[in-house]
Amino acid sequence: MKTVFDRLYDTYHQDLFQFIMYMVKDRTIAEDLIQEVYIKVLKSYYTFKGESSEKTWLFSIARHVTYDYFRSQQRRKKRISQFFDWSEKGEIIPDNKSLPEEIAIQNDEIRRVYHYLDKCTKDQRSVLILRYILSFSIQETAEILNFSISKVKTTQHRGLKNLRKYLLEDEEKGGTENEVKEGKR
Amino acid sequence: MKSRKGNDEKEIIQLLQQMPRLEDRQEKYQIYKQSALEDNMTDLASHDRSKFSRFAPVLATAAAIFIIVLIPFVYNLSDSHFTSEVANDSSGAMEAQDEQLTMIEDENYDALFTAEADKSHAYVLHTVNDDENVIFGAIPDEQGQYLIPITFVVSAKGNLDELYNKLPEYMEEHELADNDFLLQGATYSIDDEKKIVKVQLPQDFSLGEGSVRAYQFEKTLSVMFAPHGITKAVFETADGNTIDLGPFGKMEEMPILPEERASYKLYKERYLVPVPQQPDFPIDEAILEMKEEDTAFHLTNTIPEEINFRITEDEKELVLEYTGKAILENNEKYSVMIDAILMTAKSYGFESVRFDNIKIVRIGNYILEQPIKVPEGVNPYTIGK
Repeated sequence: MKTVFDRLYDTYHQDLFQFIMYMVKDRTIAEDLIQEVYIKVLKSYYTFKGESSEKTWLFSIARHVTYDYFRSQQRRKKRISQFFDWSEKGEIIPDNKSLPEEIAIQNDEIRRVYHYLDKCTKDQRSVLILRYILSFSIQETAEILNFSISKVKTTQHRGLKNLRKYLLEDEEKGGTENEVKEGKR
Repeated sequence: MKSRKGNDEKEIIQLLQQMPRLEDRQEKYQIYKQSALEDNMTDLASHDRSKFSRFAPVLATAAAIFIIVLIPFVYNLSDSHFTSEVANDSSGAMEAQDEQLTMIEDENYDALFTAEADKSHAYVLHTVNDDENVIFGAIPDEQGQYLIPITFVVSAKGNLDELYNKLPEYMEEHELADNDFLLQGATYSIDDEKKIVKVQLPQDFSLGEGSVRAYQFEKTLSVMFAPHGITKAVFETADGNTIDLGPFGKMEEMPILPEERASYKLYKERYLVPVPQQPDFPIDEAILEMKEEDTAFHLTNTIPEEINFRITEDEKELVLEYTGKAILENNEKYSVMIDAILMTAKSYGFESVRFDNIKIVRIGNYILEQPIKVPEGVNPYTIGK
């Protein structure tokens, strides 16, 4: 088992972490989720039939684990907001995730892209991360997300458009609002 | 910042491509350890959770009735306003019910997890971390027939002397001290160069007259020190007298025998125990012997009756070709079988075991497609974590 783990870890770990980290933007959560990915992988390794490549199989597990996490967060938020009737206030609770060091030292544009990735839908974000941050092919991205090639292209186009829209808006506002927000983190 | 007005998506793509790598700073080994552990735990937990989910609707109804009936009682039935509010506020009741169920489920899960953590017991130790040390002990079985080897994984640095001198503490920590450890009160000093261990025994040390205890005393020393390459034990007492070792007579030293060839079986479903074999007893016979039970001594077989192998040797690798008709499954019975086969192979000096024609990729934590290294130790206990 250790040998299987060693091989998977050495080949894919940093990319897997990269994907999860850019999705959830929280190191502790990303560490927990990647753990969960390995648990699922080690558990089902022997049932992996090789219909897809090992790489896309692994990333599709990472994608499921991450989406499950978002769903559980949504359920939690919903329960809390119903229970306390904080639905309105809940929406303006500031995002207090700290900026990873690697991002914090980047220029303003990179930091803004990082920030506005959150404005994309989960699917758009997944496609943008896989395609451009991890340099996966359209085919691989489609397999991981269980999308058709054309759906990947559409989602990719919409994601880029969305990101561009927010960056433009931010630029028109002079970028000050966002800089203050980032500075507070 | 450059103006993005009029620019197409290319610039955004370039920015995305320039995003930095976010490195994971966790230790690889830590991730593996955690994942492998959780993997085992969730197997057990999910089984129990599924049982819970079958009863969830019943519990939900019971909880709803409980809340609806009990709360008005507590807050005085004469308060009609409050009563009607509780009765009508079904969403509130459902919410509370949902919370309560979540709590029940969490408690159920936590209790299960704790219980499993307490009783969960690996039969073999496969890896030793760089910051860990391993020492060995042994306790006799109830009837004094067999010796149960124990491996202590100590997560601390220190020389072997220090660690062996803490053996009574370690045994106590895991409630093994009640067993009749034959070197009670002894202290140890290991000379790595000369490959000897000086064993200082209490002045009143005695093995009695029986040959069984003397035999087990000799074996205990072997289990404890042979894995460290020690070849001789030298006995000392505080007053410098020689030790009376019962049937062995008065002895100043004793050779440490190498590990005996053995067939590993399960003692009281708790420990893997070596059942010694003669030096010329062949490995295929020793494996076959693992199918035999000995209920009088609480020993159960580790290879189920339906399992058959053709056994060959490939230098330091033992090859077991599966010839049985039964379909092997990924369950504890077969996982223990592999643990026991690996230990048996180790006692015969093999370094790895390969399973051929087994038609299952994984059993427990073992991937059967490749040779499996023999374990570092058996019946492991972790100290200091």
